[in-house]
Amino acid sequence: MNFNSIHYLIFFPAVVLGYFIIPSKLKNIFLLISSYYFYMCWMPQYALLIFFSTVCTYFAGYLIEKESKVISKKIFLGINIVINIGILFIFKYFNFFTSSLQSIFNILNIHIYLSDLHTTFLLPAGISFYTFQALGYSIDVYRKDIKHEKNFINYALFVSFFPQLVAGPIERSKNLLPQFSTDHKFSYDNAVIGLRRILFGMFKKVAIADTIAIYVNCVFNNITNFTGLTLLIAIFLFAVQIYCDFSGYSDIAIGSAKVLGFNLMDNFKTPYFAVSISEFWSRWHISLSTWFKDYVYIPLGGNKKGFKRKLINLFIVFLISGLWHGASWTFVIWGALHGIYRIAEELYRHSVKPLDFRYSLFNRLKYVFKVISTFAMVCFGWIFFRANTINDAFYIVKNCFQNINLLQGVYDAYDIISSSVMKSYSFVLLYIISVIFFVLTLFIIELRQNRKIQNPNQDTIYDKLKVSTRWFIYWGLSIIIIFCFIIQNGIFGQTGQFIYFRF
Amino acid sequence: MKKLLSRSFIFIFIILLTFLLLFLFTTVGLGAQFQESYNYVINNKYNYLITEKEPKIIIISGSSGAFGINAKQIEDGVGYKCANISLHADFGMKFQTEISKGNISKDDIVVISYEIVHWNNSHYSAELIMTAIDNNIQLYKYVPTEEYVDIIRYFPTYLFKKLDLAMKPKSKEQNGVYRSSAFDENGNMIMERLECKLNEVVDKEIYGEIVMNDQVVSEEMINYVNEFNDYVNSKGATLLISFPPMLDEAVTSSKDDIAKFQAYLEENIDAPIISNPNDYILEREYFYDTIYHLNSKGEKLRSDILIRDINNYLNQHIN
Repeated sequence: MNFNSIHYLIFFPAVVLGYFIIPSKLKNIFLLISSYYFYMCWMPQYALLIFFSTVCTYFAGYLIEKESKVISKKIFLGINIVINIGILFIFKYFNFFTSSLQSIFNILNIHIYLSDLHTTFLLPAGISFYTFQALGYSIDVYRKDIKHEKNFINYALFVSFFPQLVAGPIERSKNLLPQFSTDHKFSYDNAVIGLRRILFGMFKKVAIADTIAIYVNCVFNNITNFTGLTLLIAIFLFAVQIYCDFSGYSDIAIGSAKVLGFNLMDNFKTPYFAVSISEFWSRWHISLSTWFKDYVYIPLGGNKKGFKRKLINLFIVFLISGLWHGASWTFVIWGALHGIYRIAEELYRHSVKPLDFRYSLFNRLKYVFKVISTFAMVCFGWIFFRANTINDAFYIVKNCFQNINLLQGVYDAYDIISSSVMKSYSFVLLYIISVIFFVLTLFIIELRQNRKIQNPNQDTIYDKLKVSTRWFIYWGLSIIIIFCFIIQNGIFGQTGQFIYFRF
Repeated sequence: MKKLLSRSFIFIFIILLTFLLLFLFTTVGLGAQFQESYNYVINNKYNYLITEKEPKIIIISGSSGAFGINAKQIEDGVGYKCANISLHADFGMKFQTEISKGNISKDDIVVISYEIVHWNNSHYSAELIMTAIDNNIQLYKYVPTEEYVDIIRYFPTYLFKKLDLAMKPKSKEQNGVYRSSAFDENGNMIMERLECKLNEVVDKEIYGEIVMNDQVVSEEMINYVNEFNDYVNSKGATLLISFPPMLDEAVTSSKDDIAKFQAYLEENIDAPIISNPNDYILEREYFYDTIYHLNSKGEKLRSDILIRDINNYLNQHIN
């Protein structure tokens, strides 16, 4: 089930009502059934995979805690990791692995044919997310960070809790598991905070990301038809699209959980205002970045084994992170690129003393320069992330600064929108105005949030607003969301799929 | 919880109200923008239907009725006024039929002569319905409820189409039969169609084919027509079933299958079947540009056949 569907619009209020009406003892069972129903609406048989992963990690946790010998604990943990990563490998990476191997065989003129081994499985939605969450739990038990959860229902709910099941945030057992042992009573304040977050999440996803996607998809899917400004706009807009798509999903997930009384971790903190790539990764998909830090980077030795080893560890983590995002060389290159960025950054920091100006104006300019240059580097990375093939990515790199012509850009934009959606002057005009308006609105909201991050005592946007203004904003956002939803359904027969559902 | 629920209801009400206002602005506020189109003729047909006080014959079908009924001839032949509300098969037969409910009165005769394929599907186009209705908002009450979702989905496109038309200067009227000025103020076609424009070989890829047997009628349509029959009877009127004109070269069914088709309808439809499909299978000299569209000569012939069928029925059952 998608968050941006009529189905969820009925499902979620029904779950909330049910959850707060039924007796406390049954609440978690009810949530568990709801979560499985949520997942099974997409492909019922794949719920078995979640159940299998849940059972494996549950018993692994039990055995690891019960066993007193370290070697036995290690064996149980190892088996658990192999099983879970094995499932992930079969469903997500097997075809990529065999086709890559086949390419190597072809180059080496080895006559082994692996094409018959190709599987036809559909990628189970959210498999990378719940696998990592469940693995995190067993590693936490192994490290004695938490105790094994004895209540299987609570644990199964931890793995399959519907708001964050298919695209995170990848929760930590320490944060989420104890919340299933608490009796959550209905709170009006929680409901308001949660619903507000859902509304903003929907706005980001349905209004901004899916609207922008029309332009971006057309350019990236017909890449050789375009050069110059059109490519640059598409790269910039994809950066906005993927942020709104994924952070929108996280907002809906966090908001949905909040209405039910659960607190999920923040997944984004105005990442495009980061002043370095390392800061970007502490603000972008935080739950994944910290997962890799805690469960890969630190076990590899982190920064404790010398500077060179630290750089190698960083590169390995980013390479794996790239592969985690998708079974394709474009993602591997994207991950490697970020690894190289981080290494370059570490080398720079290691060898150059940071500039500090006397005048605050210069410091501000330095800040702006850093933000822009970090954003530019991230955008460069998005080329590889979004491109359909490596050749496409290199075509963009080669041609995005060729034939920069404003008129051509406007002409292309008109052509793209009218051919992708509808031949209507008024629609194309509204589309262009909307995209500019949405991007500016997003920029202003992000700017305020960024200030709030830097100064946590500052009021949130809402605290200062009158009730009537708040209601007006909710009204306006709802109208825009519904209208965009109807357009997407009317033209394309469906609303946009979340990009991170594929991961 | 009560506070949240009550506020949510108020909020949802405001949202719905906003969309209702936007809908009113688009349909009524932007005025008629499609009035030169063929589809817009449905408004003339409807206006004539609702203003006619005398007992009348209401004819319901797709475009075979628009091209194949001479209302004046029917009036003279049967002695009833004739409201021919047939216009476009892509409105869907349910919408075409529902419109007749605008004014079915005592002693009226309602004749259904759906194109054969529409006995088996409930196809419709939200685009055609909305552009046809244009600013005549009262016609929306005849749109079947199952079509609401598609109407909503098409709404943004409709809005932008109307905005485009409202903003740009009106282009000159197109020539030909597919325009509103080919019809009179009562929605009857007045444009002479003298020749046959069909290709020499009637390719079924282009024109389609006409298949009749006991499998081509869906249960859904049977139920719908029977319910409609109950409605017509409750108004003191009579529902009759006839057939559209069909190009002989396009009919691919055997005589046996055609007989089975008729028998199936007679067995399952509560309203009387007054015609024989074979009488409506005509040669190409009577056709205009499709396998269901008659030229002026064909229109006259078909009207005569229908007059004969209706009079036969009236003589046997009513007079």
